[in-house]
Amino acid sequence: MNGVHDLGGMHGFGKVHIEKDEPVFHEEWEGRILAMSRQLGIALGPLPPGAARFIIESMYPTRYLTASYYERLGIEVVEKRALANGIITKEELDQRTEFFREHPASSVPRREDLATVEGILAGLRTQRHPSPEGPAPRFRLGDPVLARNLNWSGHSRLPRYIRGKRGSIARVNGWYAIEDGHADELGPNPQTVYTVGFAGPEVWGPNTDPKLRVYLEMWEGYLDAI
Amino acid sequence: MSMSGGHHPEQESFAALRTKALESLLVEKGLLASDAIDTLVQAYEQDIGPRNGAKVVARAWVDPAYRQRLLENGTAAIAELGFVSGQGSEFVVVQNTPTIHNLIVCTLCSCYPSGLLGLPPKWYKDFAYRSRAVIEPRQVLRELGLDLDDTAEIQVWDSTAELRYMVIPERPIGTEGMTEEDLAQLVTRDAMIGVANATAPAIV
Repeated sequence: MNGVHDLGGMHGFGKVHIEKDEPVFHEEWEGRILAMSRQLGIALGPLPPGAARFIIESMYPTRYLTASYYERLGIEVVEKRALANGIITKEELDQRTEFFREHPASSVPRREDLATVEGILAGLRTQRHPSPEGPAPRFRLGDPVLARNLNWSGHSRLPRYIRGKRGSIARVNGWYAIEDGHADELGPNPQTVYTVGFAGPEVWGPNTDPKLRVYLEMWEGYLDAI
Repeated sequence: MSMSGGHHPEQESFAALRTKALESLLVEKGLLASDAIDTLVQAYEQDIGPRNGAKVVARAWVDPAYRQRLLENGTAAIAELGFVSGQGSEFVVVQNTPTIHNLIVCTLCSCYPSGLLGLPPKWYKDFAYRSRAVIEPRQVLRELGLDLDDTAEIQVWDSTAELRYMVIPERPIGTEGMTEEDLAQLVTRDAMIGVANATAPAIV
């Protein structure tokens, strides 16, 4: 979707601020909501590829832009999943939130489960891999390609800044399940993902640093031959 | 709560309250285990961090054959040292040279090689970096204190699929004869993302 999350090339956000010795989590709730979103992926099963990101991208633009990272990645996804699966109601959630506001000394109930602990630890040690098989790649190293101009409203991993630009295949990677909301219109699934290199001036125009090269990973269905 | 002199005790943010509400409801309904939450938080606060990536870089600096394996198949090479990419399904290492500088970004969200570098720092996920890294990387680096030579090429890798990247920064001069362990101390997270060079050794 052409959402505000698609930030590549936008202006106006000011300088990059690196906080010295920043803590892993700035607030305790950040770590807990991250862990909760991971556990929900186990308890409820994983969402289809790309679906969690689409939940975040679908936040109303001003909400997306003013929410913090863990509010987007954590609270939004956990809340939406729990509500969509009928595990909690909005009323329950709002009431419980109010309860903790009025009773700041109240503690969160605990439930312990060793199997879940072990599942989490195993997940942290697991290396995922591309699909073991797929169709023969359409493109080879060095082939010139064109990023297609697709403006669908579903989830996409084709940023606006690269659409219609010409690049060349820099690496032929493995086969991957399509994450795009329009998977049905992008060819075989899974399919090859390519690393594609684009010259800076091609992407951004004639006054761009000629020594800039931008590389993206692109599903085969995002590319046309030239 | 007393309200003497108009002083109010600090209230928790809505996000903190919402998280407590979600955790308590989901624990009560049997969907979450509290100790598993603690485990993940602890893993990222204490165990999984840039020291992993630094070990990989130090090994690449001292062992040219390992560097070659790392460049050809990053996933397999980090597995030799017991590491996983964390996120993603293929791990790709790119190396800085005197004429090429690499920078990693995820413009669409926050994809990051968490198995090697831990959780991404806030600035990596913030809008300024995500928007500017692909269009004006040289200016971003200059603002962060890294002035690239005009003759250097800059390669920016936007993690738009399931590959995860890490940069091997150049080995600083004056580090000949240093142990691998000491070399790893010079490798910062910022250098492995590409916004800094590795630290020069302390001058004795």
